[in-house]
Amino acid sequence: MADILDEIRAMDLKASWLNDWEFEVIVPKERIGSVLDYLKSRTFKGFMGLSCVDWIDEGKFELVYILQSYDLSLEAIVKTKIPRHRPVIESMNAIWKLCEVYEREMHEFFGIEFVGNPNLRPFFLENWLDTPPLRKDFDTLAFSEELFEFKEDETHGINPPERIE
Amino acid sequence: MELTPLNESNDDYRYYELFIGPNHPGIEGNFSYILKMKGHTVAEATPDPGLLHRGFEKLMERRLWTQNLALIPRICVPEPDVNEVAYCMGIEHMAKIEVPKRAQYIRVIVLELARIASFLFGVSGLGGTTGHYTSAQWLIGDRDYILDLFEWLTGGRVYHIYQYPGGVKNDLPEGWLDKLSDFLDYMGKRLPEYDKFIFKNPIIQKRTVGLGYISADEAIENGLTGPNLRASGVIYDIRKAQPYLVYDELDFEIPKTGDGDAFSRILQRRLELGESIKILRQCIKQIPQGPYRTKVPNPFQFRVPKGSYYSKVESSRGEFGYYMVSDGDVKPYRVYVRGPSYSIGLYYATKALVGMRIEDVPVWIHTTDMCPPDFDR
Amino acid sequence: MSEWTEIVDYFRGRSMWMLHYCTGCGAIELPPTMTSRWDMERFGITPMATPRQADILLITGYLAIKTLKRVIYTYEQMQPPKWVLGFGSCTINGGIYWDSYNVIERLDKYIPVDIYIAGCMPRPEAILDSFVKLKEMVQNGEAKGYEKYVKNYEWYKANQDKVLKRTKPVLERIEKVTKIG
Repeated sequence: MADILDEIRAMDLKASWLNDWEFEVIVPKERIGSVLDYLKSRTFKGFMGLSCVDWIDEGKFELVYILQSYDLSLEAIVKTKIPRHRPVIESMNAIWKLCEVYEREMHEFFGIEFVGNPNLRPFFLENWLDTPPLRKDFDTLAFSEELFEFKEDETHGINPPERIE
Repeated sequence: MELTPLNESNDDYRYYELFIGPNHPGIEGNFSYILKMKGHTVAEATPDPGLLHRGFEKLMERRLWTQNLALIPRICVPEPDVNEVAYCMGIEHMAKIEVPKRAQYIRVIVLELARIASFLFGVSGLGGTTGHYTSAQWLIGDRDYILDLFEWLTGGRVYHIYQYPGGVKNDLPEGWLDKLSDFLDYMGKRLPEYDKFIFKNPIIQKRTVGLGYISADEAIENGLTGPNLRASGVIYDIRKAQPYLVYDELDFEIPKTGDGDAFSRILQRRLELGESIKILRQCIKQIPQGPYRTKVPNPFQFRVPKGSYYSKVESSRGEFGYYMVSDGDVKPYRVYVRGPSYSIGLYYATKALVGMRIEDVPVWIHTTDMCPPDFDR
Repeated sequence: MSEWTEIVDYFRGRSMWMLHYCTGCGAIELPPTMTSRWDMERFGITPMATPRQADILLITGYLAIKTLKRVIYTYEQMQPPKWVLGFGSCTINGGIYWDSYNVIERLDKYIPVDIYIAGCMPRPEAILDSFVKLKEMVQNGEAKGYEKYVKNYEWYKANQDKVLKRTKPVLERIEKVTKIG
């Protein structure tokens, strides 16, 4: 169990245990494809999820790949950082076809460009023209107030015409 | 006058588009597939999610760590407790809070009861799609006994908001365990009847046996988890492989069906229900006395130390994961929710539905027990 | 109001069909209401699969923008007389999703609502109570939301278009990137 971490460290990467079942690996952006490919060959076959964290003060997006090994009962959290301005990263759909859907979601919610992903059409949102909503500089309350115009008074933001009621 | 011939070479005439959902009784929840059909057979399936998208991940960044407990049960409606437990376990790991033994047992009881309730709800939906309405009447009726137990324990029928970092909100009421034990006796008597009228029923068998076969490799490659994965022959259960709470102190088995078709998927759930009853009986016997919660200092000032963690729980649909990032503030910096139906509903369905007849599509959807709110979030 | 209308209203209240459309999480309390424990059919109310034959549109909880569009299509397909029930706090003021970017706040702005049921989530008893109340309203000729919709169509349409047919960003794009808490 411990040797998998030694192997990763031998590849000149930072890795550490989070608890008995999970470890995290920090990978530079250029090597992410090869590291994921290597982990897949080392029984990490299940792709559990792709997440993104917006480190706005640093000006970086952190992509988090969550992998699962059914043989070793281990979970690998692979992290990589990309610049926040014009975020581009290669798509992992050559390794897991399934990745396509997760990337499509991250493209919609963070505006990250995945090179090699053929399907980055709108997914959850319809007719979205604003800043991608999960970015830290998107203000959901202001958006909601502006679009739905709800007010905490007896009118509830509804100004009905004379004829109504 | 010449009419356009209707033959194989004329593609426009061969295919038509059919919307299954969102307003369709055969689909689970508010979700839609756009099917490209050729006659009765599906040629292409495109999922159209987002009809339940509420932006949970954004809203959680705006609320306190403890305030979020009221928000997250809404992510998976038929089985809300897994969200609370996974989220609390994440906080406890990052803030290094010890959970008393009694609270851990109570959590296991709540999780397993929710698993039974979720099974009953899921199979009753299958009854609706196969025209087997008896099962809907019976199973939903039996599920209400569980909801009554929950109501007594937590005050809510559907959303419980019962877990809290460090334990649970209140102790088991007096006499609750006796009532639970009565319910388990009742359930034990009902199970042979379920077997008789659902699993040995020729109609259900003809509709599900051999439908939507998934091999073990395919299941792993497509990220399936939980009963869907185990029905394909990969015996992997987080409760066994990476035990959390007190699952390592309890004696239960992971049943093996392993045919990988729709019938074995519901059978897998049925057999796991038997194991859940076994777990609950052991919990009633073994539950220790003691405190039910470690006090968390002022929840309005409650800060979780810097760090990140992926906490996961085996739900009745598969792995429910929370990837949580804290920057040491009173609010989470980022929470990512991994719903168990995501990969099967949004990705694998586009492959699996191809070549299926239209009347089998709702049956397939219900046997995978997918839950749209958990991938729409 | 002629006697004939009164008779028609009396019978209308006795057989109302509810559209089988689960728009939100409130849908989970409908199966118990429909099946053996609470048995909605006692009141002459039963689920119906197609909008064209349904009388009641039950909005079970929050409406995402994408769903709002489908709900409006569905509502306009239904034949009058038709009634809308707003189910749960989310249809009244957005409920727990009051600050969400994708959930509408007040259902009244987009389609006329006859009865609101408060609570998150309302119990089956509350649902049945609202059905009984709706039945009374229909029999007294009070629930006329569908007529209101026809009379004030422009107003409703303008509200719907504001949300559904956006042509430019709702918020001004901020040039300086700053974190918003």
